[in-house]
Amino acid sequence: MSEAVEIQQEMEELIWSTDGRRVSFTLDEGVYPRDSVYGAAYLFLDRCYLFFTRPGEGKIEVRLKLKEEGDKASLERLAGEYANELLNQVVRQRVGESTAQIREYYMAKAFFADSNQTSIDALLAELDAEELEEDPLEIAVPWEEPNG
Amino acid sequence: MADAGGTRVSLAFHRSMYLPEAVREAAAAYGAYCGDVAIEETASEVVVTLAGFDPGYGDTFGDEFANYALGQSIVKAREALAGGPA
Repeated sequence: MSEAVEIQQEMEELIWSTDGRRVSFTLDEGVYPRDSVYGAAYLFLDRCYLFFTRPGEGKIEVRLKLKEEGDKASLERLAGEYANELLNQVVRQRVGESTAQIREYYMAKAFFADSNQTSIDALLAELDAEELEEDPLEIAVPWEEPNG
Repeated sequence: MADAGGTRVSLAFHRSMYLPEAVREAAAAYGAYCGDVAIEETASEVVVTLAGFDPGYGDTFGDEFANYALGQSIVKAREALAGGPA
Protein backbone atom coordinates (compact mmCIF):
# COMPACT_ATOMS: atom_id res chain seq x y z
CA MET A 1 0.00 0.00 0.00
CA SER A 2 2.77 2.41 0.94
CA GLU A 3 4.51 1.54 -2.33
CA ALA A 4 1.41 2.55 -4.30
CA VAL A 5 1.20 5.85 -2.45
CA GLU A 6 4.86 6.47 -3.19
CA ILE A 7 4.26 5.90 -6.92
CA GLN A 8 1.29 8.26 -6.93
CA GLN A 9 3.37 10.96 -5.30
CA GLU A 10 6.04 10.47 -7.92
CA MET A 11 3.38 10.75 -10.61
CA GLU A 12 2.12 14.00 -9.13
CA GLU A 13 5.67 15.29 -9.32
CA LEU A 14 6.01 14.32 -12.98
CA ILE A 15 6.83 17.59 -14.66
CA TRP A 16 6.60 17.94 -18.40
CA SER A 17 7.65 20.68 -20.75
CA THR A 18 6.39 21.48 -24.20
CA ASP A 19 7.61 23.51 -27.15
CA GLY A 20 4.17 23.55 -28.76
CA ARG A 21 4.86 20.59 -31.04
CA ARG A 22 6.05 17.97 -28.61
CA VAL A 23 5.94 17.31 -24.91
CA SER A 24 8.80 15.83 -22.91
CA PHE A 25 9.45 14.65 -19.39
CA THR A 26 12.16 12.77 -17.56
CA LEU A 27 11.56 9.54 -15.67
CA ASP A 28 13.56 7.93 -12.92
CA GLU A 29 14.25 4.34 -13.98
CA GLY A 30 14.25 3.28 -10.33
CA VAL A 31 10.55 4.18 -10.13
CA TYR A 32 9.55 3.44 -13.72
CA PRO A 33 11.44 0.36 -14.97
CA ARG A 34 12.33 0.20 -18.65
CA ASP A 35 9.85 -2.62 -19.29
CA SER A 36 7.01 -0.43 -17.98
CA VAL A 37 8.17 2.47 -20.15
CA TYR A 38 8.22 0.06 -23.10
CA GLY A 39 4.78 -1.32 -22.27
CA ALA A 40 3.21 2.13 -22.20
CA ALA A 41 5.12 3.20 -25.32
CA TYR A 42 3.90 0.22 -27.31
CA LEU A 43 0.30 1.23 -26.67
CA PHE A 44 1.00 4.79 -27.84
CA LEU A 45 2.87 3.99 -31.06
CA ASP A 46 -0.26 4.43 -33.17
CA ARG A 47 -1.27 7.68 -31.45
CA CYS A 48 1.94 9.70 -31.37
CA TYR A 49 5.62 9.74 -32.22
CA LEU A 50 7.84 8.69 -29.34
CA PHE A 51 11.51 9.17 -28.80
CA PHE A 52 13.64 8.16 -25.83
CA THR A 53 16.96 9.57 -24.75
CA ARG A 54 19.22 9.06 -21.74
CA PRO A 55 19.92 12.43 -20.15
CA GLY A 56 21.76 10.80 -17.23
CA GLU A 57 22.42 7.62 -15.31
CA GLY A 58 19.10 5.93 -14.47
CA LYS A 59 17.09 8.62 -16.27
CA ILE A 60 14.89 8.23 -19.33
CA GLU A 61 13.68 11.27 -21.23
CA VAL A 62 10.41 10.64 -23.05
CA ARG A 63 9.41 12.87 -25.96
CA LEU A 64 5.92 12.61 -27.37
CA LYS A 65 4.74 14.32 -30.54
CA LEU A 66 1.19 14.25 -31.83
CA LYS A 67 0.64 12.67 -35.23
CA GLU A 68 -2.15 15.13 -35.96
CA GLU A 69 -2.20 18.88 -35.43
CA GLY A 70 -2.81 19.80 -31.80
CA ASP A 71 -2.50 22.55 -29.25
CA LYS A 72 -0.80 22.78 -25.87
CA ALA A 73 -3.85 21.30 -24.13
CA SER A 74 -3.82 18.22 -26.34
CA LEU A 75 -0.09 17.74 -25.71
CA GLU A 76 -0.62 17.99 -21.96
CA ARG A 77 -3.50 15.54 -22.24
CA LEU A 78 -1.26 13.16 -24.19
CA ALA A 79 1.44 13.40 -21.52
CA GLY A 80 -1.13 12.78 -18.79
CA GLU A 81 -2.55 9.75 -20.56
CA TYR A 82 0.93 8.35 -21.13
CA ALA A 83 1.75 8.89 -17.45
CA ASN A 84 -1.46 7.09 -16.45
CA GLU A 85 -0.64 4.16 -18.70
CA LEU A 86 2.89 4.15 -17.34
CA LEU A 87 1.56 3.87 -13.80
CA ASN A 88 -0.74 1.07 -14.93
CA GLN A 89 2.24 -0.77 -16.42
CA VAL A 90 4.30 -0.32 -13.25
CA VAL A 91 1.49 -1.75 -11.11
CA ARG A 92 0.97 -4.64 -13.55
CA GLN A 93 4.65 -5.45 -13.42
CA ARG A 94 4.80 -5.34 -9.63
CA VAL A 95 1.69 -7.50 -9.27
CA GLY A 96 3.17 -9.90 -11.82
CA GLU A 97 6.41 -10.12 -9.89
CA SER A 98 4.70 -10.57 -6.53
CA THR A 99 2.43 -13.36 -7.82
CA ALA A 100 5.03 -15.09 -10.00
CA GLN A 101 5.72 -17.79 -7.44
CA ILE A 102 2.08 -18.79 -7.00
CA ARG A 103 1.58 -18.85 -10.79
CA GLU A 104 4.58 -21.12 -11.15
CA TYR A 105 3.20 -23.35 -8.39
CA TYR A 106 -0.17 -23.73 -10.13
CA MET A 107 1.47 -24.41 -13.48
CA ALA A 108 3.73 -27.02 -11.93
CA LYS A 109 0.77 -28.65 -10.21
CA ALA A 110 -1.26 -28.68 -13.41
CA PHE A 111 1.55 -30.24 -15.43
CA PHE A 112 3.11 -32.65 -12.98
CA ALA A 113 0.28 -33.81 -10.71
CA ASP A 114 -1.40 -37.24 -11.25
CA SER A 115 -3.58 -37.19 -14.31
CA ASN A 116 -7.28 -36.39 -13.86
CA GLN A 117 -8.24 -39.62 -15.58
CA THR A 118 -6.73 -41.64 -12.75
CA SER A 119 -8.77 -39.68 -10.19
CA ILE A 120 -11.98 -40.19 -12.14
CA ASP A 121 -11.34 -43.91 -12.51
CA ALA A 122 -10.70 -44.21 -8.77
CA LEU A 123 -13.92 -42.30 -8.00
CA LEU A 124 -15.99 -44.48 -10.32
CA ALA A 125 -14.53 -47.63 -8.81
CA GLU A 126 -15.39 -46.34 -5.35
CA LEU A 127 -18.99 -45.59 -6.39
CA ASP A 128 -19.37 -49.02 -7.97
CA ALA A 129 -18.20 -50.69 -4.79
CA GLU A 130 -20.68 -48.71 -2.67
CA GLU A 131 -23.59 -49.54 -4.97
CA LEU A 132 -22.86 -53.23 -4.72
CA GLU A 133 -22.73 -53.18 -0.95
CA GLU A 134 -25.77 -51.03 -0.13
CA ASP A 135 -29.24 -50.72 -1.64
CA PRO A 136 -31.42 -49.20 1.12
CA LEU A 137 -34.23 -48.34 -1.30
CA GLU A 138 -34.06 -51.80 -2.86
CA ILE A 139 -33.75 -50.30 -6.30
CA ALA A 140 -31.87 -53.33 -7.55
CA VAL A 141 -34.64 -55.72 -6.38
CA PRO A 142 -37.10 -56.67 -9.18
CA TRP A 143 -40.66 -55.44 -8.55
CA GLU A 144 -42.11 -58.93 -8.79
CA GLU A 145 -40.06 -60.34 -5.91
CA PRO A 146 -41.65 -58.49 -2.95
CA ASN A 147 -45.06 -58.33 -4.62
CA GLY A 148 -45.31 -61.94 -5.61
CA MET B 1 15.98 13.79 -32.32
CA ALA B 2 18.59 16.04 -33.88
CA ASP B 3 19.37 17.93 -37.05
CA ALA B 4 15.98 17.49 -38.65
CA GLY B 5 15.71 19.69 -41.69
CA GLY B 6 15.06 19.44 -45.42
CA THR B 7 15.62 16.01 -46.74
CA ARG B 8 18.24 15.02 -44.23
CA VAL B 9 17.68 13.85 -40.71
CA SER B 10 20.04 12.42 -38.15
CA LEU B 11 18.75 10.32 -35.27
CA ALA B 12 20.79 9.09 -32.30
CA PHE B 13 19.33 5.97 -30.71
CA HIS B 14 20.67 5.10 -27.29
CA ARG B 15 21.58 1.42 -27.08
CA SER B 16 19.89 0.97 -23.72
CA MET B 17 16.51 1.94 -25.19
CA TYR B 18 16.82 0.86 -28.84
CA LEU B 19 18.19 -2.50 -29.88
CA PRO B 20 20.84 -2.02 -32.60
CA GLU B 21 19.33 -4.83 -34.69
CA ALA B 22 15.93 -3.11 -34.51
CA VAL B 23 17.48 0.15 -35.72
CA ARG B 24 19.27 -1.66 -38.54
CA GLU B 25 15.99 -3.33 -39.46
CA ALA B 26 14.29 0.07 -39.60
CA ALA B 27 17.12 1.38 -41.78
CA ALA B 28 16.63 -1.51 -44.19
CA ALA B 29 12.88 -0.92 -44.31
CA TYR B 30 13.14 2.86 -44.83
CA GLY B 31 16.15 2.67 -47.14
CA ALA B 32 13.77 2.04 -50.04
CA TYR B 33 12.22 5.48 -49.50
CA CYS B 34 15.36 7.60 -49.31
CA GLY B 35 18.47 8.12 -51.37
CA ASP B 36 20.99 7.38 -48.66
CA VAL B 37 21.05 5.72 -45.26
CA ALA B 38 24.17 5.88 -43.10
CA ILE B 39 24.57 4.03 -39.82
CA GLU B 40 27.30 4.87 -37.36
CA GLU B 41 27.61 2.80 -34.23
CA THR B 42 29.31 4.06 -31.10
CA ALA B 43 29.64 2.48 -27.67
CA SER B 44 26.44 4.09 -26.42
CA GLU B 45 24.47 5.02 -29.53
CA VAL B 46 23.46 3.97 -33.02
CA VAL B 47 23.32 7.10 -35.16
CA VAL B 48 21.28 6.91 -38.33
CA THR B 49 21.37 9.57 -41.04
CA LEU B 50 18.60 9.50 -43.61
CA ALA B 51 19.03 11.67 -46.68
CA GLY B 52 17.44 12.25 -50.03
CA PHE B 53 13.88 11.38 -49.12
CA ASP B 54 10.81 13.11 -50.54
CA PRO B 55 10.63 16.64 -49.06
CA GLY B 56 6.88 16.19 -48.79
CA TYR B 57 7.42 13.82 -45.87
CA GLY B 58 9.08 16.57 -43.82
CA ASP B 59 9.83 15.71 -40.18
CA THR B 60 7.36 12.84 -40.35
CA PHE B 61 9.93 10.66 -42.11
CA GLY B 62 12.32 10.70 -39.16
CA ASP B 63 9.46 10.43 -36.66
CA GLU B 64 8.03 7.37 -38.39
CA PHE B 65 11.51 5.85 -38.59
CA ALA B 66 12.01 6.34 -34.84
CA ASN B 67 8.60 4.81 -34.07
CA TYR B 68 9.43 1.81 -36.25
CA ALA B 69 12.77 1.32 -34.51
CA LEU B 70 11.13 1.63 -31.09
CA GLY B 71 8.33 -0.79 -31.98
CA GLN B 72 10.84 -3.37 -33.21
CA SER B 73 12.99 -2.87 -30.11
CA ILE B 74 10.00 -3.49 -27.84
CA VAL B 75 8.88 -6.57 -29.77
CA LYS B 76 12.38 -8.05 -29.81
CA ALA B 77 12.96 -7.27 -26.13
CA ARG B 78 9.67 -9.00 -25.23
CA GLU B 79 10.52 -11.99 -27.42
CA ALA B 80 13.90 -12.30 -25.73
CA LEU B 81 12.21 -12.12 -22.31
CA ALA B 82 9.82 -14.90 -23.31
CA GLY B 83 12.64 -17.03 -24.73
CA GLY B 84 11.54 -16.34 -28.30
CA PRO B 85 13.48 -15.73 -31.52
CA ALA B 86 15.27 -12.50 -30.47
